[in-house]
Amino acid sequence: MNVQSDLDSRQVTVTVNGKQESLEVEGRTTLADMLRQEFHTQGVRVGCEHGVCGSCTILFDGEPMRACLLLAVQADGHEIKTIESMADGNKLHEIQEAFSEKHGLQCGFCTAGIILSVSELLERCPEPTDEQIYEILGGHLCRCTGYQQILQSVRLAADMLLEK
Amino acid sequence: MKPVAFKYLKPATVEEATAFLAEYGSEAKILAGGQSMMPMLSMRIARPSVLVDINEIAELTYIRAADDAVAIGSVTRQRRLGDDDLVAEQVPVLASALKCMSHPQIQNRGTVVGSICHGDPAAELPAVAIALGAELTACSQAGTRTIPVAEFYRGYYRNILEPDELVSEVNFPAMLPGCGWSVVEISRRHGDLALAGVASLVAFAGEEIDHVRIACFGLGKAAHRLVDAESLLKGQRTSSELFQEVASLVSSSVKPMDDSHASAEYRRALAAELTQRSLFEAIERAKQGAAS
Amino acid sequence: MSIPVPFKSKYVGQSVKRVEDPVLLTGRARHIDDLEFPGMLHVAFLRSPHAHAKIISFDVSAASALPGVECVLTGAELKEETRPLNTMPGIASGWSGYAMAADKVRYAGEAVAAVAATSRYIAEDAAELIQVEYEILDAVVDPEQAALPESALVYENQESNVLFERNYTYGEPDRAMKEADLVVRENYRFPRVSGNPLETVGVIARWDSVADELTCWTNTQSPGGSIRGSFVNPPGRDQITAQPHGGSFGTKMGALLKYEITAALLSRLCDGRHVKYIEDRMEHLLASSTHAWDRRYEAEFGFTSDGRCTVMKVRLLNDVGSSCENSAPSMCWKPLVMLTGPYKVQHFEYDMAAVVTNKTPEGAYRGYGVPPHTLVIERLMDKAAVALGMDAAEIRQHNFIQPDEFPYKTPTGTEYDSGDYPAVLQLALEKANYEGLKAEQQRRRDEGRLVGLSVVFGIEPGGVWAMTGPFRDWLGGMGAINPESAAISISAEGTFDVELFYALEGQGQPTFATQIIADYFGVTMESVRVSQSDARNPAPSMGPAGSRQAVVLTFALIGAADKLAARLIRVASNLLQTPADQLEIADGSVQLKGGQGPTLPLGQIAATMTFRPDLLPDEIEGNPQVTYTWRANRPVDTEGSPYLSYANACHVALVEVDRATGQTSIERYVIADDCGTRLNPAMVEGQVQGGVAQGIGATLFEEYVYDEYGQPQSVTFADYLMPSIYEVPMTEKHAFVTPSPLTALGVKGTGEGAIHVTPAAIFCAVNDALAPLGVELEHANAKPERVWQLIQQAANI
Repeated sequence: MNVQSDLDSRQVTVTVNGKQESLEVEGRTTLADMLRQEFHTQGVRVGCEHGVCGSCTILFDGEPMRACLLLAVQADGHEIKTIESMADGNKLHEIQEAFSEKHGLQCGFCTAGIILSVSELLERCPEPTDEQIYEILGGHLCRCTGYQQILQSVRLAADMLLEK
Repeated sequence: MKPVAFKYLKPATVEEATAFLAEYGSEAKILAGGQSMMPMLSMRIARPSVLVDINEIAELTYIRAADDAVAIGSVTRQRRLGDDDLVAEQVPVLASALKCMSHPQIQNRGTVVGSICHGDPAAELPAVAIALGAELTACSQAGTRTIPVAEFYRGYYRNILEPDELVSEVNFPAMLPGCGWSVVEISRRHGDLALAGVASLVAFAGEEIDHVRIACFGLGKAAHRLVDAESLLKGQRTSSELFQEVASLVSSSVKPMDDSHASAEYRRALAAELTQRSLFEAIERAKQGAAS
Repeated sequence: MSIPVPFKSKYVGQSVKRVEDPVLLTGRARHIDDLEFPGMLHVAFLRSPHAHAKIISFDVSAASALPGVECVLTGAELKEETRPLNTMPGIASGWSGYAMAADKVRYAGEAVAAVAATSRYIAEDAAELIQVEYEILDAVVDPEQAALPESALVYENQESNVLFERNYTYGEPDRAMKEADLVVRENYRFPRVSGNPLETVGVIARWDSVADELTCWTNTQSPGGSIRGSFVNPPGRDQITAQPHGGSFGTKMGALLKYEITAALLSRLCDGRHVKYIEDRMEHLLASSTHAWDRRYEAEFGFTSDGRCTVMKVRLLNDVGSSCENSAPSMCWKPLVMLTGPYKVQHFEYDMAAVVTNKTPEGAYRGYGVPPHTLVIERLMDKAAVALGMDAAEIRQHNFIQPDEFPYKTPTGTEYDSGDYPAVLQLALEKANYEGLKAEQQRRRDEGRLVGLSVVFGIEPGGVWAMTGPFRDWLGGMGAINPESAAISISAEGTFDVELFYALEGQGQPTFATQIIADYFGVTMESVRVSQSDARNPAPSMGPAGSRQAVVLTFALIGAADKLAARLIRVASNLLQTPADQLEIADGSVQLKGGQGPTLPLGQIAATMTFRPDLLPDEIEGNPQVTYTWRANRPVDTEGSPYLSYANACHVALVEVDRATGQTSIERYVIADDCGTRLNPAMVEGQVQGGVAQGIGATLFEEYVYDEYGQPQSVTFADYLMPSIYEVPMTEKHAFVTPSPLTALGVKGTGEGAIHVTPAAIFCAVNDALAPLGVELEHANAKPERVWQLIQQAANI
């Protein structure tokens, strides 16, 4: 059995929320762990560590992916966005504002991942159909809301962004 | 749930990758999209001492036309099946398969070839690849060989790849003009792996079925083709009696497994139902195609 | 004891945005796993692969030698330092193990050893290196077999695996059953399910033996606890700080104790370094002591020929898993407070038994045992309706407690506060176009399709305030009050700081606290800030549980506001040289009643108290901060209800079952509910919809499955299937408001209502769909294969 923890560390250069940093990480460290522990972007919530729940979803080169299903070393040379990039200081992003308006969250643990997925959807597809909204929300488990107010939030977010 | 320590290697070319595989052989695992591998690593079900990450091999990201076929490089993400014009034109069944599969957040990273190589018996793409008669290109330092997906699997999560081989491409033959298609499945939740599923391709010559390919998933140790069912259909006119006959043949010939989600008996029943649904849908599409 | 609304409501009753949302939406809430401390160690457990086995020996040498490992603690070592985990009050001792198994493991996944290391990765590496030798014993898996004398014993110190048996008989059920014109009976099973919040359970402990102090940070939903009593050599004092949690649903109560104990001991062994343990998802599913309601029922109801239910007999067998370390037994007795549901039934026998088996211990889950009970009642009402040729809505209308009968005393002595069940049912039927749905169902049935329609009703006990009434004898006759506190202070700027004594939970308590305090003092919501109190400055609080916060926190807030207002008016009276009884608070100022004369802004009063106390006479308390602890002014005796409010709801569901696959699709879902005054309607709707989703999970998707050896089969999210947006219907919700006469502002608890009723709605609808086939589903989890088996059975009849 191979249990040497310092077997293989590598230097990586990653851009997180627009800021580039170089650091050393062990090969087996997950991206979710690196983002939380090294970059302190703790809005990356870890819910299941096997890719089902969607809480740790981040934007990897602009596309939503599970941070628990990526290794930290794989982020080398790539650009990552987390929930910490969404608001402008104290001013919430329209999507965040819409979630607040429509009560699209309760405990908030799944919310960061959902908002990032939704932000990519609305960029790609500013007037989404419900089918398209379902498709993107289908990749996130929420245990509190039963999804109805999340759905309403996404519809409102689309409207708000169109009016912007 | 943290992976065991391993040596991480990141080849930039196929040549480098095959050199690593030659060096480490069965100690190494290939990391493609990782959407199945990463959970296995975190659960410590997979415990490689070397991980060869092929994601940065730029030459393996492509979808391109080949001779009467669509060639897809092994780092191409599944999501591209849904937005690629060539796929939509030549192998539209792949886009239908994508709709049954997982979620965009997984498909953005998961690769087409990775899913085929992983060979989950309940996954869609292996069955669709078999129905299409797709072939894999496997490279090693010794050279390159072509493996039909239909001959690739050897039981539960096993395949015939040598430890030093890397699949660089899957090649999907273009569907025949007027060919109808269908991928249907029953899963517990939307986007879950299937309890059972059937993919089919049907083309007519006049009123008679001229070309038919059926493959199933979730109904055995690996996805496989249903040749006997195809034989019953070929050259025939469609009728509900014929479909029922085919369905009961499929139901009795598949060898599904029991697990906590479904018994083998239930899966056989689903096989019969899904065979009929799939044929109906494929024929409907074939007829629409002929009409258009 | 009706309390009039003490203010003009500008915010209360409105769907205002939640004040806690900005922090949550930006990812800035500090959850337990977000806390970092210098030199902190991380814990991994080695867990038993066997369901039932003796531990022969431990060998930790290889694990201890691994670089980065600071300490390895075995179950045997832990046992020397600790006491057994809690047994429920009212249950004899000796039915639980320790925080880790020492001599014997009683469920697959039970911790046997723990490692503290510099990273979780290394801790997991080391845990794998611990060698444990086991002698495998026969696993006790089936609860009915477990109760038999020849069964292997989960606890050798006990005579059997039967944890308790109790019989509650009200009226004369045997006689009434004999006299009944119609008797319907059935056996039911409810699946083993759990709350499964997206954030698992976690703890950080620091036990500084020099300072003689243990500090824990956890994501507990129950504040103010002490774990000193768990240790043979306890710390001089301990303190638990609760962090915001990512959902709890009952899972973040008793389940934490075993982890707190282990992390604390590891910290003490590591010279007081901080020690963190966060359950991973597989550990949560496998071993979190939060599974619930693994139940079998035998039920028998008697009716008159005109459809009046005269008697109910319900026999419950609950498999609580391997221990009663968490609150499983009390989930059996909660239905005592609403035993007959919304119906007037005088004769009742509730016979309950609980057995231990070699499965994960059960613990609290939203609804606390009422959802399965409601399902049994509602399904038997449907069966009686069919037998009598009545409509499902009609038989319910026929048996309802009537609006003029409140307060209504149930057979167990509990009292329903208020309601209008006929009107709530009628509202649901109208909004659903029930007659239209019935016609639609018939049309599709004629085509041979399996379409089911249900109309079910449920009662939600809310505002649990005391262990009184039928709960009392379980606590050795002592009873106990469940208080709640709130603190308010006012600044010289006229802004208010409100402190709650539990962590951010997600249900919106800070928001309605803001609404209430803003309205009370006539200020804007922006002038009120709500936060969590410091753990070093606690006040009595039970925290969220038992649908209680809307009820008890409202009481506490208004009590605190009254106390502060009285003090402010007293100061103002002095400053304005006006008798206090001529003054009132309105629009953020003290003014003469009737609005004439000078006004004094509240901030100015607070400024005087803070900066110029010399202007005030000595007898006026000059502190602009108050804490108020609410407790109901009611006797804790064998009579009465542990819950103050009884919300109620009617759910109408239309489903279709696929004949070929057994899959159920929900086509229409209409809800009418009465939870009294709605402090924030959007938040109520969120609670309802969330409860629907969990109810649908339990009846169509989720189930912890064990094989015949007690091996758990549902240890990942690919096996324990929580519904996604595709599986949860977008429901139509309609409000009916009967204010509670017993609570402040007339609110009723509403956190659990929908999960009480939804399982019954789905179960009854699926059974209605199957009715033309002459088959009946007895297992409340209608997973496709179960339904398909029944359809096959029907085909072979």
